[in-house]
Amino acid sequence: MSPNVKHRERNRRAARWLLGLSLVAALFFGVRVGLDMVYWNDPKHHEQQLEPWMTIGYVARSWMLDPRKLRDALALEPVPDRKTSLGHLARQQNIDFETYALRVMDVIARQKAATE
Amino acid sequence: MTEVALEWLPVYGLPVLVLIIGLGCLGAPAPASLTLLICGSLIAAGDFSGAQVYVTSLVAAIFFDHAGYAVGRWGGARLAHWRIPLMDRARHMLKTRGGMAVFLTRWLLAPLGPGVNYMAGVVAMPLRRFTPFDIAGEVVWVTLYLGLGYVFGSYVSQISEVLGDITGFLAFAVLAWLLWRFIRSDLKR
Repeated sequence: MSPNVKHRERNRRAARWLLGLSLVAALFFGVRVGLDMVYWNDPKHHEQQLEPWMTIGYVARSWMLDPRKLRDALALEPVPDRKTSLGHLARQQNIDFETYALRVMDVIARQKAATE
Repeated sequence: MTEVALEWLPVYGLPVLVLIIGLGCLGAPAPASLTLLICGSLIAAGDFSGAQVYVTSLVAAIFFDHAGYAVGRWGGARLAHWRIPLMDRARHMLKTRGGMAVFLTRWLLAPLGPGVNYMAGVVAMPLRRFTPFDIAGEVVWVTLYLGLGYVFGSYVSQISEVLGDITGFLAFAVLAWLLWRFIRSDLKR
């Protein structure tokens, strides 16, 4: 076999491998898109959840609450730490995020009930 | 790591945004699209200034795409002389349809973006073609993701997951199609 032919054969094999890997990746993401659709068709999964990046302003807007009242209820300083995230607040108070999120959810539920 | 980076985003703002977008443009597994969605929803909540975030994201994305291009161009100079069919094909593709490839891999086929940046540099695609298509594509990406975050604020992580899966599927399906066409034409020769 001449070096040129060998070279081309190796190149072809590389191309086939890349094709195989691309197909596997496409299939993987295709299946995930399908699973996303199934997940979203279930109304149980339409509820909003608290996440570490959320700010107080964001939470107030999403649950249609007064941001100042929400801050008061969470015992936060009125203005200086306006730009802080829930994850950051949890860390400052030395509790894990899930526990802190439950506490915030509790406040949200109470304030929601008060406004209705 | 992602979680931590995202919770620092509201606290430190734009530098965190630039860092995540930069890493994403260079191909590191950074959640750049999710970050834009979150910024969109934080703009809606009044925590970020829309104009500042928009301009910063756009400039960061364009800058780091060009950084990837530069690495390919000067770091991969030796690769450019590889006379193997797969490389010739990539060179030919980028020469004839490179503009469209750059534009679409900014947003619709986003997972291929970093690879296309490096590759465009390696085959020395002229900057007068790379830059305008890069800018156009990044304008679409930034506008689309900030806009979706602004409108659908409460569901950003879910939206990000769905969009990530859709762009992943499209990107690898297109890549597979291109490779299949290459293999077929290579066998005919």
